[in-house]
Amino acid sequence: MLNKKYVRNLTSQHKFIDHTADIAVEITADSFEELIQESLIAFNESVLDSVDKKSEEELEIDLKDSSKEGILVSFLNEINYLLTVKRWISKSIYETVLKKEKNNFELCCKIKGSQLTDGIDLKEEIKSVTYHQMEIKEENGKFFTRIVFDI
Amino acid sequence: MIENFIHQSIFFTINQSVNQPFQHYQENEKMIINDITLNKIRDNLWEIPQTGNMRVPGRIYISQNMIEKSLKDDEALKQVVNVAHLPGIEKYSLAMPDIHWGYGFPIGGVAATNLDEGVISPGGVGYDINCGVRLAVTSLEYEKVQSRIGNLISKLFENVPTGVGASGAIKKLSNKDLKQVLEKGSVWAVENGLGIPSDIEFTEESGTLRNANFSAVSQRALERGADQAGTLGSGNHFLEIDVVDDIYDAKTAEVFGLFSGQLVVLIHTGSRGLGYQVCDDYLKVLLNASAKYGFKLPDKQLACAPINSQEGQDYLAAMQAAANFAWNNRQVIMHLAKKSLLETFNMTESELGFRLVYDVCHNIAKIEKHKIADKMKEVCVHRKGATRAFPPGSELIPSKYKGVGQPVLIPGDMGRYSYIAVGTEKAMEETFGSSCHGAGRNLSRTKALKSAKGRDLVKELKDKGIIIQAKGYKTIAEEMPGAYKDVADVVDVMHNEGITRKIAMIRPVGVIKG
Repeated sequence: MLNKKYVRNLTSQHKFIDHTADIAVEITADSFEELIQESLIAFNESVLDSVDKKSEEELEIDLKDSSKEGILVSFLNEINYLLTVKRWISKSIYETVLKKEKNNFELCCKIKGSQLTDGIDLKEEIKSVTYHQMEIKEENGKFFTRIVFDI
Repeated sequence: MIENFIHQSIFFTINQSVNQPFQHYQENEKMIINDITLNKIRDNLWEIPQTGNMRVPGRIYISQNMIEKSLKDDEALKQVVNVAHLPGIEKYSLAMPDIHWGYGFPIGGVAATNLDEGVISPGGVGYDINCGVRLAVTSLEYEKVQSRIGNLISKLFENVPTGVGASGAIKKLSNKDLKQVLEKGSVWAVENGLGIPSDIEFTEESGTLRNANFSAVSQRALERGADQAGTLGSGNHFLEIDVVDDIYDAKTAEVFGLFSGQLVVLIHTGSRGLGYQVCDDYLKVLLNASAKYGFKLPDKQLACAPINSQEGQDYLAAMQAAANFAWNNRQVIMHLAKKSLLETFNMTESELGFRLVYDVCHNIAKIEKHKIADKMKEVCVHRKGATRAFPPGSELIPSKYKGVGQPVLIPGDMGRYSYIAVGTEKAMEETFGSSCHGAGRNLSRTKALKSAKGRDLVKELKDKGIIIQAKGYKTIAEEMPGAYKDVADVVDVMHNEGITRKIAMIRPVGVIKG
């Protein structure tokens, strides 16, 4: 579980890689929960020129899937929905808990964010987060994955 | 009983690096690309032999030159092989010459599955359900109106919402309206004064797939689509003003209403956020279904379910609803384009002579009848970045075109040309009545932006006689002509193979982009 107030771990990072048609990003983190947080940062960088740190609201999400990859895709698609339909930017997550029961995973977390300011446009429209080449690997205590956003 | 969809995952998994050394040798008309054998059948037709757990061979329509230029660093061939494992697949896992890698199916992929034990997969349709192209003509000669194209582009940009998250072309649709749109398609637009009845006849499927089910579409998808009807979107979507530059078949061109020097309108867009969400929703459902029916997937994006299962039928119904939304979208945009032309040129409808030639979809799965082993059989034809190309005499094309065949619209990039072709009997024999859909990217967006640095692309296009208006310079740079392959190569392969015949070439003189 992440600390109540998330402080970005300096060893978590993301790197955009060249992709012919869409946006691809590789993420490294020290835990699955930090991988989720880093993916949120990468998502926001893909669609917005800048994100101010001020958060005015929070909401809770609870996602279930049969795989960690599915949880990650569901999480990012949720963020995308909040942004494109509700015009609400997710800025950070906390109290992140990943549970596993039999063959299912459940992610619960709280998200801090705020309404997109009027007049601010997205720089990209992400159709969806794909499963393409996505595999969350764990090696030597580090988590890695690649995410492709279909634009 | 559904057979297990088992695949030799060790060799063909998504984990396999794309950085394998390119092996190319020609020996008795054979090539090997990234460990996949391609046997030459004809100059522009190559076969991947059926091996391992492939249920059918793969067949790719492509020139050798194009193989060497574009497939060596591309996973698309592996995807053709993956698709060949789908339960119930008939004849071949096909790919058109604009083949490049996609999600699940390659772009340019075509596969037909039987209805008894076959599956349906969102990976064979794409996120942008019923992304497609529409061509309308006018009676105007470009030379006579050339000086006012700039005004026209400005008017189009004002009237047609473009860009990321574009909304507001027509009133935000209530759930009640959306139900109508999703079940009626472009008929809804015509009923609401956004078109004329003959527009319906000249749209593939008459603009409506009749087994669409509003209830199969999630509330989230409805929310994403509610205020996006009649919007262009972003990326490679566009509205172009073109001039007919070259005519290869005068007789067919005349039937289509084309003449040399004519001003025409080309629209490329799809189902916007509604379609993307439907695909997303059903990928999840069909991933679970794949596990339920015992399918082992080489690629999650090939999630599938038996067509006759509840999951398969639900996806089909939702996909059809999203397809109808896209047809309605293109109908509304065409109406807005016509309005823009009338306002700019200050003429009557009769003087403008605006008429829809045809509307085709290039991301869809449809139940169609095709000849398999000398018998007509209903199959589910998936076209993922591929266009229907039905021949003369087909019952499913407008009466006016029965003598010549169905128009096939193949857009290129905004700096060069697009093509109008026609379907043939050979397409029915070999490709389930399918052809190519476009060109595909050459450069990533990052590389395109780099290439555009220090250049004035707007001026470069203007110097070529093309006026462009876009939401931002970044879009123009990302979509610059050099970022795309040459569509002429793609169209020529289809023409030389007799799958479609070239009828005319049009070139852009004005573009609006999101």
